[in-house]
Amino acid sequence: MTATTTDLSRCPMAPRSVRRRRLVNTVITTSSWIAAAIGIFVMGWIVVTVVVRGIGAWNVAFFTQLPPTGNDPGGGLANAIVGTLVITFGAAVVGLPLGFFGAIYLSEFGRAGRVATGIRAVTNIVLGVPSIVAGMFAYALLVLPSHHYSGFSASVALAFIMLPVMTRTAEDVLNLVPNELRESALAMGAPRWRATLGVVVKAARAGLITGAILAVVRVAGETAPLLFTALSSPYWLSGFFGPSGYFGGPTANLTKDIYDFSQQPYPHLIQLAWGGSLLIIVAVLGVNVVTRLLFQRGKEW
Amino acid sequence: MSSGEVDISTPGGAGAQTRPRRHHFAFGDPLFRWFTIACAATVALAMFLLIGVLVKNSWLAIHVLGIKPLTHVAYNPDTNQYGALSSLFGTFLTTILAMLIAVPLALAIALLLVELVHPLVSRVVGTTIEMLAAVPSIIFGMWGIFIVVPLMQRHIEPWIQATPLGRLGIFGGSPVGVDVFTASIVLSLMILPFITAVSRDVLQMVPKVVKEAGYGMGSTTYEVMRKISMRYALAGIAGAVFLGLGRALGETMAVSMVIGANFFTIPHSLFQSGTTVSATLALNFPESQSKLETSSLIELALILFVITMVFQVVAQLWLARARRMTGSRA
Amino acid sequence: MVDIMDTIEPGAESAVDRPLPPRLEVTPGVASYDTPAQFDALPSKLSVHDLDFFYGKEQALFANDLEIKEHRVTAIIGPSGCGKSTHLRCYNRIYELYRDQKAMGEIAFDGANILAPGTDLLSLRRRIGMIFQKPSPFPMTVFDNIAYGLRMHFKLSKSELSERVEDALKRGALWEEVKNKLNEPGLALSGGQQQRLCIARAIAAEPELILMDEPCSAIDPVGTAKIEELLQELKSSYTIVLVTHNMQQAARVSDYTAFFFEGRIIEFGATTQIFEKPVQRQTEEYITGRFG
Repeated sequence: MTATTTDLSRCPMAPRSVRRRRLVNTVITTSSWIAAAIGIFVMGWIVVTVVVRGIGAWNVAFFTQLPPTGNDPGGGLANAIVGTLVITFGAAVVGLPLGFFGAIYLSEFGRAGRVATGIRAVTNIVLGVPSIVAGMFAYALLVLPSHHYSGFSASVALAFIMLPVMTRTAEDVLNLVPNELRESALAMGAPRWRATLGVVVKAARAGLITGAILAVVRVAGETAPLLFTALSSPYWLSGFFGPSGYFGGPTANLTKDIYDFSQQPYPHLIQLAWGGSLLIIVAVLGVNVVTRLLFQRGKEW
Repeated sequence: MSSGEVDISTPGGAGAQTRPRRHHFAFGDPLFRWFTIACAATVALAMFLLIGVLVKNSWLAIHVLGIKPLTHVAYNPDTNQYGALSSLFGTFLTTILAMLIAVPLALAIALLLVELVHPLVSRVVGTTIEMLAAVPSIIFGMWGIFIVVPLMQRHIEPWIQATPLGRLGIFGGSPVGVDVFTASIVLSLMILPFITAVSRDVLQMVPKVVKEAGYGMGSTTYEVMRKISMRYALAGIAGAVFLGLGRALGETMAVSMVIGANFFTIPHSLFQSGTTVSATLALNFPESQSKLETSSLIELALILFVITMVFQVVAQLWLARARRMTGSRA
Repeated sequence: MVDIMDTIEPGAESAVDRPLPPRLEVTPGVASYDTPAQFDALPSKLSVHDLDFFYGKEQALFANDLEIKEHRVTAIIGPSGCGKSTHLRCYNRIYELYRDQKAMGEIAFDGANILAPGTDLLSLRRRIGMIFQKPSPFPMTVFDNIAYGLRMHFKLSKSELSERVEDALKRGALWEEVKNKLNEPGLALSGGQQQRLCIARAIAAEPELILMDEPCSAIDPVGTAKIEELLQELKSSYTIVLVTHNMQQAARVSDYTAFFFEGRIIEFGATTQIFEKPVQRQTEEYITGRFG
C-alpha cells in the first residue's frame, strides 16, 4: 500500500487549462451582470409604467365616485375599492384564524406525527392550487346552488387560497421559537394552552403578524378567483346580506374592474384601469415596506 | 395527553393565598388541542370538498363526452365540441418557455446578489425583488397588453423574422403581438422575482466555511457556485423552481390578456395566438351557453387541478429524496 | 490552448535554483534555537516578510516575518484573537473573499510574491491546500468530495480518477472506514471523519503546502488523536502550517512554533526551544498558562 502511495504522488497529472476555466468564469459572471441588468430594468419598467400611466387617473372622483356609465369620462372606482376591502376582509376573517390555529396544531401538537405530516402534505398541495381553480370551486359550491354571484363566494375562494399560505408561514415562524421557552413555561405549571398562547405565540408575534399581513395582501390582488364569484357591479355594495342570502350579490372589486376596463376601447376606462393598477401596486408595495420596517427591524425570532 | 390535570397546589407560601385557578380549565388542554386539530383539518376538508364539488359538477361532461376532450383540439360550443387539447398544449408550452427564460435569469441574478456585488447593493436589490414578487398578476397583464404586445407586434417580432431565425417555422406567420411568445415572456417575468428571491435566500444560507473551502481548492466563482453552492442549495432552489412552475401552470390573468385567447388550435408558430387552460376558463366560462359547456369547463378546471396536484406530489417526493441524497439542509 | 502556467507540473519547480530567502530575523532578542545551523540550512517553502493586515481600517497584523520550512510542521500558537488565523489566511489569499480585508507586505512562495497583483490564484490555491476549523465537506458523495480538486485541476481518465481517490483516502487514513460508503453523502460521516475527508480532499490535488486552521477544535479527542497521527505521516511529503490554540498539540506535532500576540510574532523558533526555554516574557507567560 505504501508503495502505490508514493508512486502516485510523484507521478504528474495532466493539468487542465486555467485560462479556459477563467474564461468560462468571466463569461458566466458577465452574463450574470447582463441578466441582472435586464431583469432589474424590466421590473423597474413595469413599476414606472404603472405609475406614469396611473397617476393621471388619481383625483378626488377616482376615490369617491362610481365608474362612468356610457361614454362620459370621469367617475371613479370607489365602489370597487370598498368591494375589494370587504371581500378581502371576509376572506381574512375566515382564513387567518383557521390558518393560525392549524399552524399551532402542526408546530405544537402534531409535530412529526402522522396526522400532522399528512395535513402538511395536503397544505402544500392546496398551496399549489391555481387561483382560478379556487374560483371555480367557490362558483360550483356557492354560486351554482344559489343562482347568484356574490361577494361572499369570492371571500370563500380567497380564504381557500389564504389558508395554506397562513398555515405554512405561521408554522415556520412558530418552529423558530426555541423549545426551552415552551419547556420553561410548562415547568412553571402553566397548562399547555396558556403556555402556547401566552408564551410561544407571544414570542413569535412579530413573525405571525408579518405573515398574516402578507397573506392578506397576497390574496387582495387576486383576479382569477373573482371572475366567476364576485363578478363585478357598477353599483355600491348594497349590504352584507343581499337578495340571495349571501352578502352583496355581484360585488364591485378593483381587479375585475381593471381587467374589464382594459378590454374596452374607451381611453377614459383604460385610464381608470391604470389608476386601479397603481392603487394596487401602491397598496401592495406600501404594506410590504411598512410591515418590514415595523416588524423585521428588531426581528425577535 | 400527559400534562396531568391532578392539582398539586402547594400548601403554604404564595399558593395558600391565591386560590388555585386550574380547576376552571381542567378541560382546557384537551379542548384546545382538539380545536387546533379541527382548524388544521379544514385544509384537508376543503381540498376534499373541492375535489367532490368539481367532480360532481363536471359529471355531466364526463358522462356525455367521455375522454373526447382529451383527444380533440377544437372547442366550439355551437357544434358541441369541447376539445381540451389546445388548452393543455398552450399551458404546457407557455409554462416550459417561461421556465426556460426565468430560471437561468433568476439564477444569474441570485449569483450576482450573493457572490459578486457589495452586500449593501445586494440587500437593497434583493428587497426590491422580494417586493416585486408580491405584485399581482393583473399588473403584469396590464403591462403586457399595453406595452409588450405593441412592442412585440411592431418591433421585436418583425426583427426576429428578419434575422436568419425567422426562417424557422416556429417564428413564422404574421406578427400579431398577442401570441404564445408574448404570453411566455410576460409569464416568465411574473415568476422571475419569486424564483430569484427564494434562490438568493437559500444560496445565502450556504455556510461560509464550505464556500471558503471551495475557493481554497482553487475554484473560480462560477465553479464554487455551480458545483458547491448550488448543490448545497439544490433542494431549496428546486423548491422555488417547482413553486414557480406551479404558478406558471395555473396563471390566468397575465396569460389570458396577452395570448389572444380563444384560438383553439395547436399553434405552429410561437407568433401565433393560442390559449391555455386557465385562459379558456377565464374567457369562456362567464359566457357559457349550456349546461354541458359549463360542465365541460368545470371538468377542465378539474384537469388543471389534477395536473398541479400530481406535479406537486411528484415534486415533494423528489425534493425529499434530493434532500436525503445531498445531505443538505437547505 | 496551452499556456505556460498550465504546463508546470506539480513538483516540477526545483527548490535548488531559487535564491534562498533572507536569514531569519524575528523580534529582537530571539537568538537561541536548538540547532540554528540546521534551521538555516533547510530550504524555506514560504517566507513572510513585513506582512500587515487590515480589517477595514483596523490593523490586525503588524510587520509579521516568518519562515515556513519545507517538509516541516510549523505551528502557530497564541491567545484567541491574536491574529493567527488571519495570518494563515494570507497564504492562499482566501481573505480576499471579503471586500474590506487587505494584506500588505510580501509572502514569497517558492520565491514568487503571492501578494503581487498578477498572481494566478487558481494555481496558487491548487498548490496550497487548506483545512478549516469546522469540517467543510462539500454537499456531494465521499467519492466526489475527493475527486473535486482532481477533476477541476487535472485531466484524468475514470480509472486514474478512482485510483487517485482511493490513494488519497488511504493517505488521509480514512479508506478503511469509508471504502463501503463512497457513494454516501460526505455530510453523513462523523465530525472527525469529515475533517479527515477534507484533509484527503486537499492532498488529492497534490498540494505542496497544507494550511490547517485549528483543524481539531471541533473534533472529539479520539478524532483529534487520529488527525495528529496523520499529520506526522503527512510531514514526509508535505509542508504543513498548523494554527492551534491547543499548546499540547503544538508541542506534540510541530517542529517549529511561532507565538503570536496582538497581531505580532513575539517569538519563533524550534518547538522544543519555545516550550522549554522561551526567550520572551510574554511567551513564557502564555506557555505556563498565566494568561490566554
